[in-house]
Amino acid sequence: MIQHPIEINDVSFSYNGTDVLRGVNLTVRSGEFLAIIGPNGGGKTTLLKIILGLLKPSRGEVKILGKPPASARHLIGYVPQHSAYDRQFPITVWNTVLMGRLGSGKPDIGDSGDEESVASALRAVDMLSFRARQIGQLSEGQRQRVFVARALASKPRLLLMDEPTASVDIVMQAGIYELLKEIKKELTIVLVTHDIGVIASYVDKIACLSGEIFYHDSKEITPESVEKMYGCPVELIAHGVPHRVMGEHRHD
Amino acid sequence: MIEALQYEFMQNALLAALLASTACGIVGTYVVVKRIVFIAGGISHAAFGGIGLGYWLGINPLWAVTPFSLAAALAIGLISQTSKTAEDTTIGVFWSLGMALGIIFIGLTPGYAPDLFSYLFGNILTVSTSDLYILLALDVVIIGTVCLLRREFQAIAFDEEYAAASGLPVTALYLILLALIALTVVILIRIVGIILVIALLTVPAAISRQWATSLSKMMWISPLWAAFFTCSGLVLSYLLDIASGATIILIAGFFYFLSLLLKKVNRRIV
Repeated sequence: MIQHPIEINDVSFSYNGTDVLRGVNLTVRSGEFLAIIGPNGGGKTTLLKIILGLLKPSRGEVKILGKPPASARHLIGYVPQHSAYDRQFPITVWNTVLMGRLGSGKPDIGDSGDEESVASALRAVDMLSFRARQIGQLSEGQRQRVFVARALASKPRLLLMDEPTASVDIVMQAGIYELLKEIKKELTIVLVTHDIGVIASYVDKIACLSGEIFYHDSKEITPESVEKMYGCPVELIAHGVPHRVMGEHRHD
Repeated sequence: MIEALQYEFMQNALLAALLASTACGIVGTYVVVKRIVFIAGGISHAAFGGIGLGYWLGINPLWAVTPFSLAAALAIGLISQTSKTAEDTTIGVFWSLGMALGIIFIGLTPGYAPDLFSYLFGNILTVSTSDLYILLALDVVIIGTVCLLRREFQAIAFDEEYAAASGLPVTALYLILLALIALTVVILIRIVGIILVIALLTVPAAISRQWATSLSKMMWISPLWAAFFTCSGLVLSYLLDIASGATIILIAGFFYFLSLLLKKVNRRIV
């Protein structure tokens, strides 16, 4: 039997009595680049945390490469939404990426394996020359690259990213998507974003999440799914999106 | 001053200052970068319950305060990690609960409680040789644990959620870190007293943070600052015949603001 990177069966999650996710089904196949889009509060980050095993679904089942999420963490590289850390934290780029090597079960354990993995991860994001720099001295876009490198340093099979371009300007955004295009040759990528503009030209598939998931196993966003998701017709202006949705926006 | 060094109490005081500086510089580094100063304050004040318990049981309060502050640290950590209450609320409750217990225990103890004042405000000149052994043992435990877990501690100090996502046992590591803070508090109580502990846990690390570029550099520099504050405070308090704990803290505070100022000037020049 093929073990897909992500298999989600009928997952629901509620927080303080409110349903955040309802009956979500999703299969991500090996080598795919999937974007999950949806409105704020639609459960995107919750779904990522369930995939990471940080949250337990109230119903349903999640398998990461055939394993329950909590025992598959060494297979996942995670790029969190910028927020939780202190930008003035005294740490170099190198040591930040080295953090990606922590946790059990990662390949090439040991000092030389660490060294090699960190160097190649930094090379992949084109940040190796910044290795001795303090995290606080980088631009937001450079920092984001460092966090991608940190995720890659664990040599993951699956890369999960939460709003990777949220705090980055447009030029830098394009740079990050170009970088992902390179990386995706070797692994499966799932990213979550509310930025529906740029992604379509880079990803293979798009799923829309707003409590429920609307997923067509392709990157076509149908007018129906977007309308269901946002509750009103939305104008999609994007390069490479097969359907342009320009529904009439009526106020009632 | 030189002849004072011949007295055993003065030698003990200096040794105690150095042992305490090592602990508070290293553990203070985590307290400052992980921004858990308030937790450290809660643990140190809750430790007063242990002092009272020691009096009531008629044993060296340092023996009673060690398990007591460890228990307080673990309770604060567990409750704040598992319940939905805000962490600072939990800390506030333990802060006053520990002190209240201490007062009750001391009230239950027949007769007068000697040295009570010195546990509140510290009296480095009364450190006995057996106290020194306790301090040394606690230092060994703290340094050993930090050497073993420094990469893990750095990860949870930087970003707890990412650490959890990469499969680290975040709650266990956090509790171990709080336990180290509790042990450091026990050491510092003899030096500056419960009320002033928090200054030695924060000021040396805060100063070195302004200049250091990594946690390990902070951990080398902070103990040196702490040693400078405690030793110079000790000498100055002896010469001027004023309270040693308070003198140490005043010197630390002075250098903290001096460092802030220098950093500002430095930034303007660069």
